[in-house]
Amino acid sequence: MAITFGKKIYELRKEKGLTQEELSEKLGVSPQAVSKWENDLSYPDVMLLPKIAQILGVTVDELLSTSPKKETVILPESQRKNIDDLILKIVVNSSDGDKIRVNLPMSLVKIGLEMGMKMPNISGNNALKEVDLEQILALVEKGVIGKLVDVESARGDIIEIVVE
Amino acid sequence: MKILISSRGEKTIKLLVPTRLIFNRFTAFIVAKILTKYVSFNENINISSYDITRIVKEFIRMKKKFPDLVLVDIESSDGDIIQIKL
Repeated sequence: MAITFGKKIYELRKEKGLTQEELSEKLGVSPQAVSKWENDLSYPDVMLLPKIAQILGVTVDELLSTSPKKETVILPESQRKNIDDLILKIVVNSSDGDKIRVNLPMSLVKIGLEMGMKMPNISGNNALKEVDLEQILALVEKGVIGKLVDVESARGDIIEIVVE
Repeated sequence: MKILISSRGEKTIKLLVPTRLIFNRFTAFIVAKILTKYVSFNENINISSYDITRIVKEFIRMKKKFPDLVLVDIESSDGDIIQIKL
């Protein structure tokens, strides 16, 4: 599934830990302009693209690419990262328009599992009730990373679990 | 640790709290005591001061490895934002 330009800017901005205000300040535009870009209501001036790409730490090509970044891949043993250096990202986009992002270091997830915690204890979302964190951890230990869970509930909530 | 609370039409609150002030052995001990005394968990969950100390150590390690990692980011449909950065 292709992602929109607005969603791409939104995700990259979040990865960089910037707010819309901070990004707009760096670009010399209004926060409303950034909000419009992220909601695909308008697009930035073409002359701003190199600066946006630079601030968000990508190339202009990557910025304009609409292919989804978070594929699921199985890494060979030689390319695997230490599990303690990976981050479990839980993304919930509710049908009401709420957006929730939780980034948990895998090491903390491991400790949580050892303490007997399950997914609802971490996220509080009912749609994640059936997600087995232990299975996710087992997959990651076998070198599987990327988007591991993608759920769209009947209510329209979208839930993704990505390990990066 | 940075905590940002922003509500539409209200003042934005930014709290900068030294991570070591929150995550240290003393607070780990206090949190574990409070959890065991006042919070009733599911019987499968056991939280001891040792576990809390492990979490504290892990947070400190993560702070060095991923400074500015956004732990929680909530944007409500009303425009309220809550963000917790490491």
